[in-house]
Amino acid sequence: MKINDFDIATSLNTSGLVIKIGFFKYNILSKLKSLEESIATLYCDYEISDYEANFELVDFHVIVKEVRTFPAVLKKQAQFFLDSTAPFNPLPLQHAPAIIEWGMNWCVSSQVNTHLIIHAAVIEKNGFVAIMPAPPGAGKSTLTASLIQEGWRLLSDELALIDLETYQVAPFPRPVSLKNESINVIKNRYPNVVFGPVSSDTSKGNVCHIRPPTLSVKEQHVNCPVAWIIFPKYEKDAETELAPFGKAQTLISVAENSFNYSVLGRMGFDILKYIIDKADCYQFKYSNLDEAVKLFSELESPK
Amino acid sequence: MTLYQVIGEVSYVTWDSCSVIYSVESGNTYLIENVPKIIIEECFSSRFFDEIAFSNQMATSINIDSTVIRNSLNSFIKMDLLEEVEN
Repeated sequence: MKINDFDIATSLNTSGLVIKIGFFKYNILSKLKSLEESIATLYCDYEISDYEANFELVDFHVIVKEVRTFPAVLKKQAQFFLDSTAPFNPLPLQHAPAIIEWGMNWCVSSQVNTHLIIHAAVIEKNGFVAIMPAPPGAGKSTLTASLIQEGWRLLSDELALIDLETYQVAPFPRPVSLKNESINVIKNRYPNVVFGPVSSDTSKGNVCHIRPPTLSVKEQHVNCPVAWIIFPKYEKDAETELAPFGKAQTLISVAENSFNYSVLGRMGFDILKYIIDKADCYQFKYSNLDEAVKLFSELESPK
Repeated sequence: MTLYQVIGEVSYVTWDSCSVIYSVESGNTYLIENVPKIIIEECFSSRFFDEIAFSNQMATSINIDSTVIRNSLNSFIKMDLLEEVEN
């Protein structure tokens, strides 16, 4: 069932709304009106169900609710809960749409060890994926938001999930997070992109999420092998440049960007050794999105 | 000193002139630059490594300088991948 056929307000308010993202199921409970609107906007292509009506096992029981805590007792705040525990401090109520998106990513990055998890965007073309690890502020999400409007499939904006047996990437296509100037850049380039509500003045500035392309959600169970590992970096006025990056350095950098490489031990090393050996590895510098999109379109798939 | 012992299990990979070594014992991962692959292979292919025997072998085959071997071994010792067992 899709969100348009569903009374999401009732589910969110009572036993919970179950959303399937990749191979994870989230049960979400919230009485916040802003979340209802945000979920209706961003998750309209996902399979959803009512938790109570279709009693099923879910991976994450998530609640976002209004709280009043000392000393901000007079301020309305929102807090994220996983299994009734609150891993983060509450934030201003108007940040609730961003809080749930951050929290849902955190559920996977902090709780899941069935896959090697790398902090990276993942996009696919012709059956092969590009993994793009990058620290915050490197322009990863802006680049990803553009490329998925230009024929690439979104597997994830934040987390590359690598299967421990096949070494392929499992999709986790969630709304793409844009910040500050990037919001208008994407709005102007792609007027048909659907934006969720803007959370203003968060610790990251203004934050807004965009709805993933319908096809990316539809193909959210299609795993793919890795063909490219690309470290993107936005630099104002920089020439567009795709430079080969050493595989040994790539392994170290990817390991540093992994959430559970050390937890997986030798298995994590063996997976990186395998995928990096097969992949083309680059550092990518850009300031012009047109040139970036063109350059990515020219990447050659493996024979 | 001539004989070294490998500390715990080690996995490694070499691309071009760089290698990455993973110590199963410590969970640490090391980037190794400009150490000939054959030194890494010989060091970690069995439990013990005989420096003199290896140096002699290298001198008569692919001519790797003994200083390069010594520096490599010192690096591995600092990384807790090798320890001296016999002087």
